[in-house]
Amino acid sequence: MQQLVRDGKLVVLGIAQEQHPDRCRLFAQWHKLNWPILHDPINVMGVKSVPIEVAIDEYGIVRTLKPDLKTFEKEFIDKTFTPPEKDASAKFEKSTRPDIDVLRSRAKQSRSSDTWRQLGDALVLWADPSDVNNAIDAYTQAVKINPQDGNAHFRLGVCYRIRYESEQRSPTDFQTAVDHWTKARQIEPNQYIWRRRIEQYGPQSTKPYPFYDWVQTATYEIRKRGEKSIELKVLPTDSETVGPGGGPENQNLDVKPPDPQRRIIRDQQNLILTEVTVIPPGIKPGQTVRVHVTLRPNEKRKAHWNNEAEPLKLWIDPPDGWKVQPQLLTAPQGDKPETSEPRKFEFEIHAPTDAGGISKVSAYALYYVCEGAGGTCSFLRQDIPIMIKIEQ
Amino acid sequence: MFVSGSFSSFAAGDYPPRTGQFHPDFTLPNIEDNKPVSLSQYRGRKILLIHFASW
Repeated sequence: MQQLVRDGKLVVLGIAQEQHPDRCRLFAQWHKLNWPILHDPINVMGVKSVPIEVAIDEYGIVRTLKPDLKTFEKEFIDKTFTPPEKDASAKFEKSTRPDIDVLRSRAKQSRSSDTWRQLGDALVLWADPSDVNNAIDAYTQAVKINPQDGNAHFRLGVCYRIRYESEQRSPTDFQTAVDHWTKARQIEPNQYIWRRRIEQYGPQSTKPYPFYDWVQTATYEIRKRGEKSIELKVLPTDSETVGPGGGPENQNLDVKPPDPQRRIIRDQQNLILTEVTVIPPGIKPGQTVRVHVTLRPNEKRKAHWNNEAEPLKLWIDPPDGWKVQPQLLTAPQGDKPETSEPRKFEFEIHAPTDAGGISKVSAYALYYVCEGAGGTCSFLRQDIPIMIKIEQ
Repeated sequence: MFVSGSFSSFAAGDYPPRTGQFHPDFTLPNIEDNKPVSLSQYRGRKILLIHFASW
């Protein structure tokens, strides 16, 4: 294939169906892919699974799907195809980068979810990433007009995840993303690109494979070649690197709760802000959720972790019959005495077969936190209720 | 006119198009520089379009 490209006989064009362009670039660097790769983070192409290979002749006509590499040269490259009739060619419509102002004005004049969705698409693909709020507004209009617009729900979810990874984040953005992806999947259960987006962050029991476990190997091998590897803006989370696995077992039976008598003072000033995301947002009895908990020092209070004391701990206390793995988590300390990075935990909770309604799983974090530069440091507790919806 | 992000013709499970049909044109950003790339700019060349994900 590479030879055909080098000889000028073939153009290979990749289209990456994932959110992060820098991860695609790292993948391409690792595999030395020498062809252009385009980015479709919101699945505008409507591809339902990957990989899909489409051979297109010099007239723009699709000739083969899933071409056989053994016969590809003879059956496609060396073959002479008949040009299409003039009428057909005249009907072919060329695509251009869209004019956002035109789309905005069209959307405002219509009551169609399509026009609002198309405005959202243009904003995600072509506007500055800081315009993500405008894309969220456009897709929100689309789902308001047509609540069954699965494309708009999926893309709205992508936008909330993009915002969650940006400075404009709101604490509920990740959960809102998952809620919209879940809605999209309910509308179109056979859309595997949408399904994979939830599985990427979801429990191990629903993962088809690890999604980004290759990142570490790729980075190592690229550096070994003497190259500087593409730097990732957002590193893959634990859930994006672990592989498929069974549900949680209460393995750490010997671990003890760090504050059994609830004596540690509560963080009533919200020096640490907590975000909880449950994936999927609802499960049937006997199923598993993956919970992402992020703790961020409150910028308004100039709060920061005290790294010279004990590390941040999270204890999960499931009700009888529920299983959690692991039950006690400890975050790595920062590399300086005082740091203010977000600290992330992930764990899985398995509901018993007789669970129902909305169940509360208790959890709490214990941390040493300081307020202001050289200010007071305290050892505090924050209770973190985790609400799990059981669908019958 | 097809504009990027308005693939109404691909909706409802129409992708990939059938053999013997025109592949609808599209415009998407290149991951390297975010510049727009359209399928139609390669007219006259044989193309292999690969939809993939790094996972």
